[in-house]
Amino acid sequence: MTPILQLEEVRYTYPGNAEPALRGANLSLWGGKKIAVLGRNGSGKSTLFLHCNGILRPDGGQLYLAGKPVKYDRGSLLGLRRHVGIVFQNPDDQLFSASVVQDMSFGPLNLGLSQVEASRRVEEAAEQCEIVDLLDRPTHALSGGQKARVALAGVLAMEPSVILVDEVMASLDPWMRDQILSILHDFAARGRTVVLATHDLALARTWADLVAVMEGGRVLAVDTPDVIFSSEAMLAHLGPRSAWFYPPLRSASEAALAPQGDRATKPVAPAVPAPVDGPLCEPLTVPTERNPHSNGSGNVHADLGKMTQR
Amino acid sequence: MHVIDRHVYANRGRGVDPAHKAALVLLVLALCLLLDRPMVGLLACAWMWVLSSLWAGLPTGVFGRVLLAQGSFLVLAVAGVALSAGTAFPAGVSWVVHVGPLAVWASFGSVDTALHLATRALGGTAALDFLVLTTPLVDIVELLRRLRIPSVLIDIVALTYRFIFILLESLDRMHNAQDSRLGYSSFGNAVKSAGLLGSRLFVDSYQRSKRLQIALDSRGYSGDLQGLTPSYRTDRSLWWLGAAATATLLIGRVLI
Repeated sequence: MTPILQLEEVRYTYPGNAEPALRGANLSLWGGKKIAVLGRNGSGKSTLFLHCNGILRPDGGQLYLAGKPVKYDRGSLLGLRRHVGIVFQNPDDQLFSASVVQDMSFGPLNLGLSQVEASRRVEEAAEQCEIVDLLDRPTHALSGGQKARVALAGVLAMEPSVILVDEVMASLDPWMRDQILSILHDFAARGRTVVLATHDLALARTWADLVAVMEGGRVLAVDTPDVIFSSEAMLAHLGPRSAWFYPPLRSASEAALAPQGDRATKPVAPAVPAPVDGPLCEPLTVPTERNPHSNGSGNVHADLGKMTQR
Repeated sequence: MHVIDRHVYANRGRGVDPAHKAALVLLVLALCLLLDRPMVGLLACAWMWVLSSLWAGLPTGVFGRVLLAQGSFLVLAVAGVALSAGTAFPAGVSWVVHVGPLAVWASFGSVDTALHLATRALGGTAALDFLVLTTPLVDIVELLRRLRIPSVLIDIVALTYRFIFILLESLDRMHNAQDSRLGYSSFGNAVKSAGLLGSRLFVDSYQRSKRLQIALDSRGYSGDLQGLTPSYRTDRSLWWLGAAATATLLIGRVLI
């Protein structure tokens, strides 16, 4: 069995930049999987996505669509984009048309579908995303959550095999977020692939089948959430304090050996904050000399160092 | 802009074929220009108000408000036609007002010309207002497509319309960001902030257009912003009302 899409040693440097954005990224996308891509800002998530869709062409390395190397002529690109859709971070970048239905039908019509078939797909995607009542509305009159759903529906209407979702959750309320996650879940349940770039570790741990961790333009690891979140090294990549909130998972045997009810019986001192007198925060140190390079306090780094030690 | 936009998507005439509405509007516009009588222009205004309020179900004040805004520009424009000013005035003028060393005067002829101009323009404007208030841009774009206007021009119209709102939103956001940091606390600050905002808005638009290009490409853009052809309904009552309006304008020309 071959993966739907495979990236092999993909390297890319943005024109005018000295630092490469991707330095040999490897990733295989199989059908029916929900994959969360984690990684710091600037680790190459968005650049990787743009490669998957053929917007960017790698300086080195190769993409394979269903096992065949991707060529970058017009026909192959259309084929790639038929199979791989991207939902961008800011829906306003994606929604170009004044009317929702016009925007949603744009992709399907570009695939060369008839008006009838395109309109069927638009209706179907609208039902999935529960935006049927928005179809006749002007795009600019939608709320943020509605725009996000319309942008997603516009890509779903193209019926891709892989859908890449770039960080749309950050600005959505939990209700709207859950709705989008359940749409993506249904999509994966039909044997298709969902790739979600996110900073939400809890989401990656609970929702995803696989977690990919990116750092410095490479994919460090792709594995199940249990494995990734058990690795102190991986957690360290995701933020110095991630391990506090996501302590390594214990195996079942270890959990059985742990003393029962330990936490419940032990009295815990209530954390009552001291009454506030005077200003709510320390006054900023005012530098006596005008020196733009001074940050006014010398011991910030030392404090941080202490905090990250466990 | 926002007044028009709010009502254009929520009126009873919205689903009616834009070609029918445009035909009626062009007919009234042509009659206003050809018949060239003040009464015809005023009758056209009245008819368009009736059509937009009763037929399309817009709130009665909306049409008047839009027309009033345009009318005030019109008054300023035709004032120059009606009135003349100078240190000495010619013989045969009907009204003269002296303001210090200046004399401002008007004659029957100039006032008549101004009245003709104003009513003719107002009638035509009212006709176009009816179209603008009952037909969203998407439908006008569809009409242009049917008229075989080159698709490049149509795409520019459609994108410009969408980007007006995006630009307004960016403008609003940036203005708030500046205002919250006292960017408009004094006249000097305000001038500086406005300048920064203008230049920043340009950069923002440029970056946004690049992101839009990427988003379009990712959905298989091939040089034509395609969309589904909307379906419209035909409303016979609009035809009868249109015929009645035409008859009234013609009668207005004959009688007065």
